[in-house]
Amino acid sequence: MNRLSTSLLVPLAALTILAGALLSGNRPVADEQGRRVVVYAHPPCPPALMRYFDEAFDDFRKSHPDIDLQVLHITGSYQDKIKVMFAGKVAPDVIFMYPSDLAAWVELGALTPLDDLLAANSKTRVSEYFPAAVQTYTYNGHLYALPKDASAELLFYNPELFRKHGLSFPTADWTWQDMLHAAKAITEDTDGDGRPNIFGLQQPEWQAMVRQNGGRIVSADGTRCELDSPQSIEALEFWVALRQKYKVVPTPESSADMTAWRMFVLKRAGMFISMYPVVPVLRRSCDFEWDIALPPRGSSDIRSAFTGSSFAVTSQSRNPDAAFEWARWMTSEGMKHIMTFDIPANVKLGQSQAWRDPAVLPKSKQVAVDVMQVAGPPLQHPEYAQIIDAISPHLDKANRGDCTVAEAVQKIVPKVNEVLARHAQSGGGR
Amino acid sequence: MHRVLVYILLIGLSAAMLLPFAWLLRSSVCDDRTVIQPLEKLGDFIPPKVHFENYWLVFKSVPLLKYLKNTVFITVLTIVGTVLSSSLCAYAFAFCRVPYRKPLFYGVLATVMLPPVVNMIPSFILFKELHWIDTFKPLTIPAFFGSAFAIFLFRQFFLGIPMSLIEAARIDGAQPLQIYWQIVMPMSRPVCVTIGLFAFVGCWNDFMGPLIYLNSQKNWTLQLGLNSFCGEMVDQTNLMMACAVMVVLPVIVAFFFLQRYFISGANMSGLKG
Amino acid sequence: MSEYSMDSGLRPGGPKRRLSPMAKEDRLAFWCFTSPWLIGFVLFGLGPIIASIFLSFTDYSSSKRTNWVGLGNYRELISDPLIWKSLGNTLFYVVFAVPLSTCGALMLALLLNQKVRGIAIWRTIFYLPTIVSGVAMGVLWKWIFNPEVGLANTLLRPILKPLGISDPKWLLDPTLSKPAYVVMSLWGIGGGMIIFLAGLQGIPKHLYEAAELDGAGPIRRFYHVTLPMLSPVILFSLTMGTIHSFQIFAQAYVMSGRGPDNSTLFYVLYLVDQSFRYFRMGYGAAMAWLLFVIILFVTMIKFVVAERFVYYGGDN
Repeated sequence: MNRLSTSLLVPLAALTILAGALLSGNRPVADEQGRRVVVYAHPPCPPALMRYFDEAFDDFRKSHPDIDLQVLHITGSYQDKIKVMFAGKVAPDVIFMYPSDLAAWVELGALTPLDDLLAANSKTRVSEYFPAAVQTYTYNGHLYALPKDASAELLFYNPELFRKHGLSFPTADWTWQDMLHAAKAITEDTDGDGRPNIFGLQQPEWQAMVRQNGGRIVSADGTRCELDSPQSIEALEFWVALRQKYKVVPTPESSADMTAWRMFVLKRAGMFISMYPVVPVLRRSCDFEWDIALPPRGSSDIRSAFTGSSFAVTSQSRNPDAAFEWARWMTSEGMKHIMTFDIPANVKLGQSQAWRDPAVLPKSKQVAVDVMQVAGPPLQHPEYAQIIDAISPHLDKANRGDCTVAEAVQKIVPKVNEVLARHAQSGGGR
Repeated sequence: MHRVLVYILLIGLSAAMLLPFAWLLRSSVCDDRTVIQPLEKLGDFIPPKVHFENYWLVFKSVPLLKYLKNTVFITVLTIVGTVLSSSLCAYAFAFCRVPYRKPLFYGVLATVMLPPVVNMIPSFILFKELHWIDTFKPLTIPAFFGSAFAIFLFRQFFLGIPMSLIEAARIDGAQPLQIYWQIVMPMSRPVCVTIGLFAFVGCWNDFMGPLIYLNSQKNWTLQLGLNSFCGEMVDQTNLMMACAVMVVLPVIVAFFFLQRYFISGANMSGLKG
Repeated sequence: MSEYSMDSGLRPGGPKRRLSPMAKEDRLAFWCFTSPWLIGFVLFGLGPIIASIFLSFTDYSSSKRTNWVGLGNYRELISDPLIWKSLGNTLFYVVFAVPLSTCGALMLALLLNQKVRGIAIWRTIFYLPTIVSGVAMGVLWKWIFNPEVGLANTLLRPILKPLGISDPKWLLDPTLSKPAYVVMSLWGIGGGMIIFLAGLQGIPKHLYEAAELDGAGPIRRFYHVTLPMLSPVILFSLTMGTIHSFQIFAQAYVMSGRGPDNSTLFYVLYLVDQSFRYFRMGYGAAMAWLLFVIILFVTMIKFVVAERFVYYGGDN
């Protein structure tokens, strides 16, 4: 073995590839012209809507030549990618934030409280946004995100089906009983197979019912689960009765796994409770007239959960003031680009006529603004996901008729309390 | 009789197997409404009106060719890297008689037993430190350093090659690299094609990798583009399906032509001990 | 202790036996040829693995301050009922899906290794489902398994109705949701098929000819030629199939999520929920290592058993 073995070529080649990869052109991190870079992470958004956002991005770049706005469009697993980027300490400057996720992100120290940035910026004040929105994005006394759209749960209905059965349209003082009455009338078996195929309404989320009745999932001090309160139980029992007793909502079998709006679009559900962002879907897919109303009232004044979305400045942002400026601009001036499908959370814009194009549905656009009066924040808890996951299987069981609501709640309460206790133990809630 | 039975079996099974693709095709020519409608009866499978323009709309909505270019680049590198590096490594595990080859082989195998999702964040941090984020490097370079799946499969095939053949070549003075390239690889064409195919499909359909490592739209792959038809509330499902058909098509064509490497007895029949 | 080791160092057999040039070359070639994997492992693999071991002893969650919790995560694992539930679900899937799809793939490969007209088309058709990925399949399967209008029940109803069995609810039924996933897994046998097809190409024709001369019929030829010659590939399929099935996640993620009564809460689905939905990366890492140990154990058993059955043609 005197000659050099050719086997050595293998590690040599491997090292060459590695060296090549390590040394070859890496991306520049900073803006070439020395502008302040703002990376904004945009959530999944199909091309039909994306083009409106693109207009907004261009407009911002024109009016802010000193800021290099870079859009990071994440086409799936939005939160996962952001979390990975956080871990890598290369988080975007501005991220999209949904109400129920806010607390978790705040507790992670991922978001910058906006108080100082707001104070330093002369162009905006908190009072310019709808109070329900501000309340939703406030946690532990600090505002963490600027609300983009003012959206809360609304009742969507199909007037045609109401007229057909001689029903009057939902009004602002509609109660559960009114809703049930209408739902019973609309539910119908039109193809004579013994099973209804048109339903009064899509079963709302149990959370919405609990809220409408003044119940809470977790007590105000965050120490215990309150689904066993009389209001909550009553709400959950009514929720299950819609399916088991009155049979006015489709079962999962009969809805063929269609989401709420799909049944509605196909005229197979007369009503459903959803939020304003579903409006562009209905505009595109419905070949009939539809309208919106306030959600029915249980026993509570606050009967709608605020569900919009917002812009949050991350704690890793290198240019927080530029990032804030983008968030501020997009939630005010920039909204004009997307107002056709998002109601601005900015009070002046939201109450203006600017977005109320009479040519497009819904007719009762004012309702979408009025709902702000009866809307409140959803459950704000850092362990939101765990709490919901602890509850859902049991309520599903009750909803299937395999156990009573009382039995389900009996199992739920200790489980949720356990999650709450562990959170408190791990130093959560400061 | 035997023939007829085979054909009946084939037709029956393939009807079931064609279902997903038929569904894809069907959805790709539906309009907005039909595509979300559940099928009440089998006749609904054929949409009432066929919208071929969906395919055209896909091209108008997303720069598909740019994504194709990126995907092809990543895929080609991945295939070449995986086949070469893994076969070399498998050669060592199959033919080099060293006492520690088995334990090391089990070590290789053990790396796939940890669910990849736990490595997501540490890997991201690593590639960030290397300044590889938003480049194709995290998606291609690791392929040149072997994949356990491919190494294992290559090894299983190599172990079927008579050792006497290798020994004979060595006695003639051939070096391992020569034996690898001139004897082992030519005999292993079906495995190479199989591994290449797996690397191809895995890379072509990978969503999470590009999602995590790529940022700018100019670097996007087909899967990222495909997913861009989905929104939080609004999906353009029919266009997405049309896009999916176009994304799948190259793989189908490739497979159609590559499958001829699986022709019985073509490679080994000449060798008799 | 120290005396003993000193002693062993000075044992008469001390000087190493000289390696023959062949053995030397083997050793060099071995390290050279495995070097790409070794380099890659040290560079890309080892760091993340060490990191995840470390993380499993902490309460790491992406950006909050991290605390050392010792064995806390592992202790919690044992008392978390969902861990056991999800492990049970996963095991069910592994036990049924792996043998079924391996057998299915093998039979399909045998079928498509014959001289059939239009072989390219048949093979492509069977391979097709493995490349039509993700979202499209999710919607399709939901329709197929829909109890009222789905394809599965439309086909089964004429058989079940006379027997007095009402429509199965598949994904909505805690007892049938896992079997539904097993059924779905059969659409992925195209991948296994091509591995077996490749394996079948390696079987020398003369073996079949010899067997035929001995008067062996097709079944005996299968048992005495095909099966032993294919055993290395079968071992591969079973091993990788088991590993991948233990890690089943994507299907459930797009289809039914956790399913009724958490009946399709598969282990990795729960792991992903813990790591990414609940931000509990440390706990997720501990879960991953538990799964690692389980898979390792199963694989080791498989290899020990396989030693007795697998026939490597080259090793004689």
